[in-house]
Amino acid sequence: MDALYEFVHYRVGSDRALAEDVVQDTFVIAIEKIAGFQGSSSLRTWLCGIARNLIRSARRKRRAASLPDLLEGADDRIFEMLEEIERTELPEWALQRQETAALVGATLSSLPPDYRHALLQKYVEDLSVADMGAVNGRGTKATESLLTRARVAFARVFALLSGGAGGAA
Amino acid sequence: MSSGSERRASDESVFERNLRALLTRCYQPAKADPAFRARARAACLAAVLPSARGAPDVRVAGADRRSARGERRQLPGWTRAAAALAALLLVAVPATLWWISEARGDGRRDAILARGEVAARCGPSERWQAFGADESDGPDDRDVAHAVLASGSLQVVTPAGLGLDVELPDLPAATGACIDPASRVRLERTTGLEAELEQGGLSLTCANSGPAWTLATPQGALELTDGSLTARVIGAEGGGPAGAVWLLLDGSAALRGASGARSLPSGRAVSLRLGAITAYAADDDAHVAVHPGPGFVPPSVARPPEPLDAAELAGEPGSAATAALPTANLPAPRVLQGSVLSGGAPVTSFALVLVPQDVPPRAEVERLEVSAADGRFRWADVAPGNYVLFVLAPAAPAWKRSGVVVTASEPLQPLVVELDANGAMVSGFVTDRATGEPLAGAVVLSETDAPARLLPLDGSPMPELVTVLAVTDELGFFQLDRLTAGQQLLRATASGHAPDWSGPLTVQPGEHAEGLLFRLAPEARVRGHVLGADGLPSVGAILIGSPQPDTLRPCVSYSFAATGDDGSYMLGNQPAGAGIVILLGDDEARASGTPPRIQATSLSPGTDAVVDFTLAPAVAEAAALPSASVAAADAGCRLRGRVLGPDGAAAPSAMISLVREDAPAAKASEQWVGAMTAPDGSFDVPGLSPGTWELFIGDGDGTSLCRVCTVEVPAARELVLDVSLTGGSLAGQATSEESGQPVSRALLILMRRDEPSGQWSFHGRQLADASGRFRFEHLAAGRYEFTAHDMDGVLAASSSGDVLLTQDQDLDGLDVALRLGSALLVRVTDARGAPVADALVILTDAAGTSRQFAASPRTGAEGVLRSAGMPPGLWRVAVSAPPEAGLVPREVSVELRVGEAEELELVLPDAR
Repeated sequence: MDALYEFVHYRVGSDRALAEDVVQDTFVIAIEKIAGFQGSSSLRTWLCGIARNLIRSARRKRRAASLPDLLEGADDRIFEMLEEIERTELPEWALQRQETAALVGATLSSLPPDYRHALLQKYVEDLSVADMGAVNGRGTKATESLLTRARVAFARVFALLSGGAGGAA
Repeated sequence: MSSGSERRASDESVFERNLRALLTRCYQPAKADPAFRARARAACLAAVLPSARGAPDVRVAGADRRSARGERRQLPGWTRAAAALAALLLVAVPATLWWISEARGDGRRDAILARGEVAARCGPSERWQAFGADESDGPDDRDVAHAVLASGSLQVVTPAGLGLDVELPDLPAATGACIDPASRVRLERTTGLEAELEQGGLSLTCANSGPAWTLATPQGALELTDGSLTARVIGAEGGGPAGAVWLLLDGSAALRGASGARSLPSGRAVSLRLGAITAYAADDDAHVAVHPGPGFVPPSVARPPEPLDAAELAGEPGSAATAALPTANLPAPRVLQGSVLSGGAPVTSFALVLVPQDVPPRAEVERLEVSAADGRFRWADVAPGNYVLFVLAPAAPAWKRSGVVVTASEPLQPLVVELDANGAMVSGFVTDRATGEPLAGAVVLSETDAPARLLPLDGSPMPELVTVLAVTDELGFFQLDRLTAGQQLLRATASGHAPDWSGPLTVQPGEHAEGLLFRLAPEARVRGHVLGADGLPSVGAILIGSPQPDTLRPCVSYSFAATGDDGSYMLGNQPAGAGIVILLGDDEARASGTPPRIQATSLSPGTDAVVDFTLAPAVAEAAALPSASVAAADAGCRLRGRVLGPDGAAAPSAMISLVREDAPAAKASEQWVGAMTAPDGSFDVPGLSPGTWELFIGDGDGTSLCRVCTVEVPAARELVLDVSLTGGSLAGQATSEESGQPVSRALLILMRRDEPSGQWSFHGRQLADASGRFRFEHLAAGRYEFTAHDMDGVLAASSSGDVLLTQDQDLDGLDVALRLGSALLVRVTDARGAPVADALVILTDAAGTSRQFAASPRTGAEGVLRSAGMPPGLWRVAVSAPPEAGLVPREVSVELRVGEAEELELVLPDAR
């Protein structure tokens, strides 16, 4: 449930009540439509598809300040800063913006689990590469490779979300 | 942060430091609150548990309502038939537009398009409501595209305030208009919503702030930019020809024809003869066509049509113009014509692609490149068939319409294609399901937008026109652009892996749907040998392997192989589950038109299934041998002949299946042979062993199967048999009793009572379409009963009760309601805890009937048998291991509750 919850949370403007509504409705609809689930697709993708539609619906009802809404109203300077994420230290004010937090959350919830876990272990839990390898049963080189790919993937999706339409509902 | 961390941080790049700051300062993990988890669990439970526990109602036309429960009886042939059925089950469901449910207590009737694009509801007041596709996922949210049909009119309102009224009042006699009362006018949307309306007219209203509506006619296109316009389909007016009248009530419109655009002043009427009126909203693919239905017979023409009056066409206010249609522009059979616009402007260069929906599917598509300054096209001599039409233009998402049926006699209505300028974007990752590692080089494509019917799984070149695809980079990342808005189905493939599909995904124009994740399992493979009739390897024979077709997949995915010098072949990249292998034969066989051979198989990830073929002897040699006078041959008997329909015409592309009647259940899959009939209805099945075989006939895509006759195969080289099909049929719909929704892909098992023994035996099976509808055809007079099974195992099986069918009778409305079922997992181990494979599990209900709910009644390698869709209640479970295992059989009882899954662990003691 947590993976779906997080997927929704950052797409409804971190509105806890709405996120709960969407997640609950997603599960209920999934149960009702389970006969239509072909099983050949990823369950996560299927659930996220239902959640997307619910978020889109909430957006139309003006219940949700979704990620695109949030980004539409954002200060242009923040995007200029975020575009420079690979070259320029982010200033304090950029780190304090709600839009930045929403983008980080949405980006992380879009990454494959291995990438997401690697980034959190490295930068939030502050594990060394060797410790990560030990925890995950990977060698050092494999862990470094995974981390490198995870960082690039984060940057790719982060840029897509902040530079594009702001992602889907 | 520790000092070590600080040192690490100082070694980090700017990006890493930013990343660390973002993740530690900005990221707050969002976890579901425990109280919410409990609430969500309760809500899910409430959705699962039934509101009523009554027995399932079964509605049989012409018969009393009855309960399926309590009428079950011992069916001696059931177990054997079910096993044979499992072997025969080549599951394929054609795409079908509607889900329809009926039988609500308040008399409501629901209809939902399977692709989720439009839903309509008709209440007790006969009001229809329709709402947009994605809305069907939301609870009771129908505020975007909303349509109400009441008393013969349909109104569609879009969010832009654009209104479309289609009113079909009885035409007042004072106008002199008369339309054949027996005729019908069909109203349809491109999304597939169709309604047949009696008589009719069309009224459009357009606000000048909103997008324009375009009406296409054989004369050209009329664009309404402001105001309202009414069009009526009329019959003969004053003895004139049947036609339609446009009347611009107010506002402004322009008529665009081959000679350019003309304004249409207010109050101006233009009459059209025959043909169709098609309306499009510029910002939407909403499309309404009004045209005479197939039964429409224009009244006799009393006077010839007036010639076109140039002055009137120039648009003098207040004059009534009668525009005679240039003959070349009249709708005509086998001529596809129309125009392609983008943002209201003509598209000057595009391609039209017709993808045949033949069964079995074929790779060839019809294509026409168009270069025209006015965006118009005319495609003559289109071969009759059922097609999906694509319009492809540079830098625009594809435009697609299904169900384009070309016949030799029915005119094709002109099209106005409005290309969407804004496609949708989808991005995500492809990973290895086993390792979680990203997969580079994986191919992700949109099956929805692919102008192709067959898509390779194995790295073979994609069809040339399939351009909406992406290859993952070293991160496993992909990004697909220019997708059409609406429901999308994406497919991911990679070498050495099984494919993965996205499931239905709804995207909006200009939207970016990110975060898709494809996890590819290890491939399943099929290998085997192809031997000639002489027992020598067949070299260069072509084989195709395909997973079971799926309702929601527009394309058929396949792998391709050719046999080597030793006759061996290998088909890779297959997904787990039911699959089919088709032997097309070598060049000689294909050139001679030899029908392909088909075998079913069951595939598991990371393992190889073995499917061998033996080819028939050459036709000339076999034909020279009279069957009755020839001794048995090692190669077996060859059965050949023709299949003729009830009307005596050849039945092409039908699946002939032969099952050994005396085959042991466990060996049923080895005692099945199949072949497709050729265009002249002929079939050829080699290698039958002498004995009694049951001959079944079904659709070429495997969705249906019915027993036709019993064939005594002699110990001879050849038997010639012509099969004449009868005309009786049984049809109905399977629905969920709880939700009222149709049960798509429901499996219907048909039993027939053999007279005079009174015993019931397996007669056929049918896979319901996406709307839960089914039809058993070619049934002789007799007493039948069918049982509907939910293939997903959520709903319990439900039976029809006896149905008496007379000669050539067509019985429809035999609906079956399925209620929530139960699931049972039986795990069998020996005293040491080791799994017992191949143990026979017999499930017997309270009425003493043994039933089977899985493809095989035996445990798999892990000692487990899973049964789903079982009716709740008390069941006896008898388990016996293979004799060589030396284990004592056991029998226990288990109570199954509605909507719950039970696990049963049975330990079989050592017999010694």
